[in-house]
Amino acid sequence: MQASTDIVPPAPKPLDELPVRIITPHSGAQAFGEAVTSIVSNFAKSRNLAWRMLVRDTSAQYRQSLLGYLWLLLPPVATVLVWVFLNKQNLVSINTGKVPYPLFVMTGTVLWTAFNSSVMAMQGIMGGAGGALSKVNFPHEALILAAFGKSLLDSLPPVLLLLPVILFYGGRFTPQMLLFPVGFLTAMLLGSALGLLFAPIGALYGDVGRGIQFALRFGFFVTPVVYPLPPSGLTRTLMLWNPVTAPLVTSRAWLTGGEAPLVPEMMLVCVASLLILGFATLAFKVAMPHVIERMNS
Amino acid sequence: MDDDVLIRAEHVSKKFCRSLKRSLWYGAKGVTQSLIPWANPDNARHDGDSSSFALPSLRTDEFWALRDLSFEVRRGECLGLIGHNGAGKSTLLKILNGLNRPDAGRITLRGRVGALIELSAGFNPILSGRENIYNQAALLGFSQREIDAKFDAIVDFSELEEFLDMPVQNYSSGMRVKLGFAVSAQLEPDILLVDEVLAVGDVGFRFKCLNKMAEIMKSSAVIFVSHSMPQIYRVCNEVMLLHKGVSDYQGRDIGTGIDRYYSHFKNERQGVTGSGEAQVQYVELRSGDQVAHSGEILQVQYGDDIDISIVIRLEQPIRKAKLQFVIWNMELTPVMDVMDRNLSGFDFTTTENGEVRIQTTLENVNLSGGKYSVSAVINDEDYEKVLCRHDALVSLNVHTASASGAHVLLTPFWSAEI
Repeated sequence: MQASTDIVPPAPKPLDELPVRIITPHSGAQAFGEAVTSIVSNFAKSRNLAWRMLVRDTSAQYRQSLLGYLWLLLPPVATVLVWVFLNKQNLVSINTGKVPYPLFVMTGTVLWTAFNSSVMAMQGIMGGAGGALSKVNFPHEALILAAFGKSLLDSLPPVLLLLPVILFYGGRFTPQMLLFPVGFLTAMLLGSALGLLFAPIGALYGDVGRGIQFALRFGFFVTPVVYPLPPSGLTRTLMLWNPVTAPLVTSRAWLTGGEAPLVPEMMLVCVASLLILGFATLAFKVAMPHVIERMNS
Repeated sequence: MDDDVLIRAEHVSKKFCRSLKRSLWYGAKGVTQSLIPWANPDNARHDGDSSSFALPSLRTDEFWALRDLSFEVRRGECLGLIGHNGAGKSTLLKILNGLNRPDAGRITLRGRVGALIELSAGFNPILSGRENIYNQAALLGFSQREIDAKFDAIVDFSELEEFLDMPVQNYSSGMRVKLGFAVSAQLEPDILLVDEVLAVGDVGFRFKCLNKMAEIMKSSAVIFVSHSMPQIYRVCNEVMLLHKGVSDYQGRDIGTGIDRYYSHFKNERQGVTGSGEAQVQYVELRSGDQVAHSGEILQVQYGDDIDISIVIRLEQPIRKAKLQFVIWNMELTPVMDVMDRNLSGFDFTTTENGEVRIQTTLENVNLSGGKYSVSAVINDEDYEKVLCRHDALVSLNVHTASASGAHVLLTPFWSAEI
């Protein structure tokens, strides 16, 4: 036989040192138990893979474009310009009190983008993995981490634009501003939790993805993104029931100054999002085998 | 687990659903039911450890894709999985690879599992070969440090150094397989699952892959899926023949397994091509007490004679032609050409009414065990025109006492000088 340039495999390990995996049909409590064990042992291990996936998807996404990473900034900027234009022309007239309208819209958009892109990233988690899911056995926790990274990547650049805008309108630093990330992260957690919750069923039925897109478009208008929370009326009631309202309104107030309303509600949303996200991760693990065997292979 | 058993499957069953809509519905149901720990799932079975062996019932449109499969593979052994397309081979591999869950039974795996299945599954076409090596390796579970250490070996094995910075979408399918194999080959698995991945790529690379696989196989337990029987002969020491999800043969007698595999194929449809100026009217093959006519299978013992009797009709005004037989194996490779002594077809002349009966005997047929198909080829005198080529005229099923991957077995006289 010809000489081989490859690394010579080491002598096989003794049997009792090898990890043992038992595969059985499972459901109910047993499945949950296995999911918890696997999540605990896999999350740390899958960081490298998650990072690779994030880099892979991002560079592939922007390599086929001239403007490249500029696209991370363009959509939120465009939204802001549209609403500022509408307001200037008095087509919609919105009174935002002491806060200049462009700054008001921009903060709202930044927070809404954080929520929106988290929902979309988590919801599309299976489709994005393409054929690999049904062909390669890899820790699926990496998909969740990578999706969270993707939503961070989509939501952070607009935040950087906020700083010069605040300075431009003569804003001054207040300690309150440091609380802004709390609201920002709450919006992301909420979005991720909801998105991940629907991911498994969404991989089976296309209706789910369409429904979510529709709900997000409608949700934009029942969330005080481009106008303030009205003092009374049906809109106010609707908006108060909307879980995105509390983190959005609160952290906007933290950033732009003024009294922050709905702080306890926001904390509630934050804790609830964490719990739902935990449950959604478990559900995702448990549901995975059912979904994978029905995906295109 | 005793001695060196790395893979143990006990009574594994798996069902699939024929209808897409129902399958999705069962999937959604399965998802919701598995989220309610106290729910009684559709696949009702009793609780407790031994319960996983109880078969759930089939719902509408469901069928058993795998049914009650049990086997063990030790380190250094190779189990060959053979069977028609759709027999369940890939499903079994997917379950062993942890992608799908069985509906009943239990599988115990010891050690790191490596799969040479769909090698380019994780590739991103836009990215370069270099980037894809890193991604694929991460997907297969290599740490960053391992990848850095093995990168050169991977590039070296793939023979793609000069294309490394080209996007993979511009690679040919053979190049993609090379890249995929080069990454996967760096796994040092205890359990290796191989699906026919070596069908692509040039001869040199295929040879290299086989060598690399042989090297991995020495230290691991292997499951090998292939449609190429010579390869099965070469690498496996046990075969399992799957037929509609059920094990139809399982054992260490590779030859018997392969015989049965071939016997599942329906006879090929007879195909007649050529100018049509000649026809086979009747054919009869005899070997021992066995007889077969057109479209039938003749059972032959290795080393026995075959008597052939054939009636041919030529259209007027042709009176003279040449006849020869070609014997094909199941991979459609011609393994034997039956001719006259001058290495050309047998010359014959028809009677007044255009017909002729020709007889010949193939002595001591030394074909290896397996299924073969016989074609009759009738050419005109000068080999300028094919008058009739009748494929799959008769099939042969040759039985040998021991198995071999070669086509022809010779048993000459041997001597040794002392």
